[in-house]
Amino acid sequence: MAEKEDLVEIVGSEGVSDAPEILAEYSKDKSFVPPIEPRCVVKPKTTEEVQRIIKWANDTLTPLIPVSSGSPRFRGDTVPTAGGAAVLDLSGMKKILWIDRRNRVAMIEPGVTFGELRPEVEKEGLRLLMPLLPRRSKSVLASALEREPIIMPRYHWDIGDPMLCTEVVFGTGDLFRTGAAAGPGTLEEQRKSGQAQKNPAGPSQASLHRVIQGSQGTMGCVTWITLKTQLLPKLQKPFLVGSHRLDSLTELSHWLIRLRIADECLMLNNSNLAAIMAKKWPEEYRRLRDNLPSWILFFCQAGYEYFPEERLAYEEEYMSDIAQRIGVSPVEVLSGVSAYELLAILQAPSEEPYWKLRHKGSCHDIFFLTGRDRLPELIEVMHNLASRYSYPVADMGIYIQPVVQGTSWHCEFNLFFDPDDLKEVETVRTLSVDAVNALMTEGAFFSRPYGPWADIAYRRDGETTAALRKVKGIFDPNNIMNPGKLCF
Amino acid sequence: MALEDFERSMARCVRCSLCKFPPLEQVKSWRFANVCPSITRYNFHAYSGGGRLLIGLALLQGRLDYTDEMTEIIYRCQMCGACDISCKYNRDMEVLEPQYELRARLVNDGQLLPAHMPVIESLRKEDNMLQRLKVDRGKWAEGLDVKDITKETAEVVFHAGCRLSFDEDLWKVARGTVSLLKKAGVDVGIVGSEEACCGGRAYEMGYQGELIKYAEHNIDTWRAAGARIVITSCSDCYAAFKILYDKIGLKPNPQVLHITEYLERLIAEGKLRLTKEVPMTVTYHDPCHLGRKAEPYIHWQGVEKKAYGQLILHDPIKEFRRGTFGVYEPPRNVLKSIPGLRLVEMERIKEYAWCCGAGGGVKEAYPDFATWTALERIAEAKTTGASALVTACPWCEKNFNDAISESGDRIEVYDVVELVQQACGGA
Repeated sequence: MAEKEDLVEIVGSEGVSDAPEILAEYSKDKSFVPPIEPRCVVKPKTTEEVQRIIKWANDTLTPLIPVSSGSPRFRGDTVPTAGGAAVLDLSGMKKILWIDRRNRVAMIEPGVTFGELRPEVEKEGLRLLMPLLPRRSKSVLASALEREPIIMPRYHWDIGDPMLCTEVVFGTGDLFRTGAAAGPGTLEEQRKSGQAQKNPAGPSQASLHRVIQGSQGTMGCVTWITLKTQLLPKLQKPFLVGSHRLDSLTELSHWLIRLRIADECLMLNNSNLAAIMAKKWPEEYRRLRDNLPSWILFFCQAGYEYFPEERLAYEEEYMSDIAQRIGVSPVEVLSGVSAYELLAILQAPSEEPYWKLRHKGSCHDIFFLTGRDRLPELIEVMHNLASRYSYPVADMGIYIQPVVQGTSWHCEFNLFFDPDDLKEVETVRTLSVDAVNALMTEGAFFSRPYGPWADIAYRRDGETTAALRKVKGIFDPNNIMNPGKLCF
Repeated sequence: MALEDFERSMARCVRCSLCKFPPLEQVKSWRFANVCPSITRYNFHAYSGGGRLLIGLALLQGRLDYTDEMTEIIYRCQMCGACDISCKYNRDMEVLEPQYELRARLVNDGQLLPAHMPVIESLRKEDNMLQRLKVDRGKWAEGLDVKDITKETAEVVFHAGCRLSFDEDLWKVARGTVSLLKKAGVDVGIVGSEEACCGGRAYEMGYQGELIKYAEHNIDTWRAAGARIVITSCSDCYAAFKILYDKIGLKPNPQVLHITEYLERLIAEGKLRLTKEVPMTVTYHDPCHLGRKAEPYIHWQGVEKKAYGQLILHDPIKEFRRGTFGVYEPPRNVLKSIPGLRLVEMERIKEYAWCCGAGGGVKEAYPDFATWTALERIAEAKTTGASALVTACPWCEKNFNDAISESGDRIEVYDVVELVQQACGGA
C-alpha cells in the first residue's frame, strides 16, 4: 500500500497501523452513530508531522478523522464519516509546553489528559477549570475545543473559556496561530516581554478561534492551545443544598454567581449524585438515590493568598442571608453525602470505571443551553418523553450547570442503559432522537450538535448551514477533514 | 443630598451602556432586550442613564452651560429607575439618585420645562397634579358609606391619590378598594376633599420642596386620625410615602401598605373570600414605583475610600438598593388566588420591567413619548397570549388605556383591585 509507505515516511512505522483489531476499535464508539472502519490509524508526534499528513491527505484526497482522547468515546464525533479514511490520532502529542503562574496560563498539546495535566499545574500553585468529572483519558484540548462547560461559572467569562490561543493546521495544510499567539513577535519574544498568549481574539479583527472551536477537526487540526487556569485556593468550604424545588436552587445559584461568592457551583438530580458518590453497586446507589432530595446544589466558597479566613467568613455570611431569604439550608452533609468528599471527587477526573458507565454499562447524553426560566418546562418535556418510552425516569441523571456568569444554563440528561440489552438500547436510541426534536422545538439551544443532532439543527437553519459550508470551503477546499461534517 | 454628593458616582460611569439593557441573564429575546424607554426611543447616548450622568458631571464641573436641548434631554425620561437597576446588577454606583439631583439643580437654577410649570402652579394652589379644583377631590367617594378621618378616627386610612380622585374613568378602582376593605371588616376611613398630593411626582420633576411640604401635611393628617395603617392603590403615592418620605427624614409612623399587600394579607387571613370564577388569562405589569423603586430606602453616611489605587470601598459598608426587594409577589399572589384566572408572565418583569411610560413628568410634557412607551409594553403583553394586562397603579392603567385608544390595540387593562372585586362577586 503506497499510502502506508508515505505515512511511515512521515511518522515512522510505529506511528502507522492498519491492524484489524486497531481499525475495529476506531470504527465505532458508545454512541448510536453507525460504525465505519478506517483505512489506517496514524499517530503524529509533532506539528510538522501533522502538517505533512494533511498535505498528504490533500494530495491523495484521503479523508482524515482527527482524534485526541482515548477510549471510551461517547459522542460519535470520532467515528469515520467516510470509507477509506485515515484516523489522525493526536493522543501521542503529550507535551505540556509551558505553565505560567503569573498569567495563570498553560500551553498543552492535544494528547495531554486531565489526569496528566492536573498534577503539573498544581505544582505551580494553579488548578484547572474542570468540566464535570471528565474521564481519565479525555484530552484537555478536546474538552476545551468542544466547549464542555466548566463547573466554576464564576471564572467563565466567555463561552470559549478556558480555551485561549491556538495553533492550527488548516485543511489546506497551512499553519496558523490565533489570538495573541499570532504576533507581533514570536512566542518567545512575547514571553520575554511578559505576555502569555492569553488573549484569544485576533489576529486583527478576525477571531478565528471562534471558527476552530466547536468545529472539532472539520476545518483543521489544532496542535496546541493555551488554557486559562486559576490559583489554587488556600481554604475551601463546600456546601450541599437539597430541595424538591429546582427553582429555589437556581435562585440561590443566581445570587452566588452574581455576588461572586462561590467557585464551584452546579446542580445534580438525586440519580446523578448517587451515581457519582456510590461505591457499592447497586445497593449504595439505590439507597442514596432514594434518600436524597430530588435536586441538589453543590457549591464551594474559597479563600486565597490574602486574608483567606476573612474572605470565607464574609462570603459565608452573604450566602447564609440569601439562603435564608430563599428558604433553603446549605449543609456540609446531606443524606449521608459529604460536601468535602464530593469536592475532592469533582476536583479530579473520574475514577475508573468512568462514572457514567457504573450504573448500567453505558450512557447516552442529551445536552443543550437554555435560560434559567426555561429549565423547568424543558425538564418536563424530557420527563414526559421518557415516560412515553417507558424509560425509568427515576434512573435518568440530570446535570445543570450555569455557564458564562450564569447568563446561560447547560442542561444535560444522562440516559443510563445496558448495552447488552437490545430492547433498552433501542429505547434510548429512539427516545434520544425524539427528545432532541421535541426539546429543540421548545427552544432548547443545541450549541454543540453531535452526530444526528447536527442534521436536526441544520435543517432548522439553512442560512447558517450555507455559511458554514462556505467557511469550510475556505479552510478545507478538498473536503478532507471529517468530510460530511461542519462541526462536531 | 445635592448633585455635588454624586460627583464621584457620576465620574465612575465607564460608558459601558449596561444601563440601556436588562442584565444579560434576564434577556429572553432580541425584541424585548431593551430596558430604558428613553434611549430606546431616542437612540443617542445622552438619552441614557449614563448619558445623563455625563451631563450632570459636566454641568457640575462647569464644562457645560444650560441649553433648551439639554433640558429636553434631561426631561425626556420617566425616571423609571431601570438604568439604575441594570447598572447596579454588578456595579456599586448610583445612577438614578444623581438624576433626581440633576433635575433639582435645573429647577433651582430656573431652567424650568414650560409644560411642567402649569402643573406645578396648580399643585401649589389646588394640591393635585391634574390641574383640577381641590373641592372636587372627594367626589369619587360620594355615596360610599365610609368614615371621613378629618372628623373621626379610623385604624386604616385609604389614600386615593390625585389620579384616582380626579379621573372619573378610574373611580371604580378607588370605590372598589373601599368596598373590598369594608367587606373584609376593616375599620377604614378616607380624607376626602382634604386629601393632598403625595408630592412624589413633583419630586421626580425636580421640585423637591413640594415633597417636604406634602410629607409634613400628610403625616400630620394621619397622626390626627390615629391611623395605624395607610393604604394606597397608587404606586406613585406608595413609593412617595414609603421611600421618599423616609429618604428626606420624614418616615411616617403608620405602616404604609400598597393595596395589593393588604389584600394578600386579608385573603390569607380568610377575611376576604374569592369565590367567583374569573376565567381569564392575564399578564401582570410591575409598576416601577411598586417594583424596583419600592425597595426600602437605605440611609448611609460615610466616606468613599480608594484601596490599592483602584478598589472603591465605603466606610462604613454601603448597601446599595438593587431593586431586589420591591413589591413583586403580593400582586401576583392576589391574582393567583382568583379562581379561574391564569397568570402568564411577560419577558421583562419585576426589577427588570419596562415602564408604562407615564412617570417622571413625561405624560405631562411629552404625551407622544408616554404613548410610545406604553405601546411597547402592550406589544410585550400581547406576546404572552393574555387577554388582559393587569397592573397595580392608576397612572399605568390610564397610560395604557390612552395608548390603546390612540392605537386601536386590543387588550383589556385592569387594576388588580378590579379583578379581586369580580372574584368577590362585585363587592
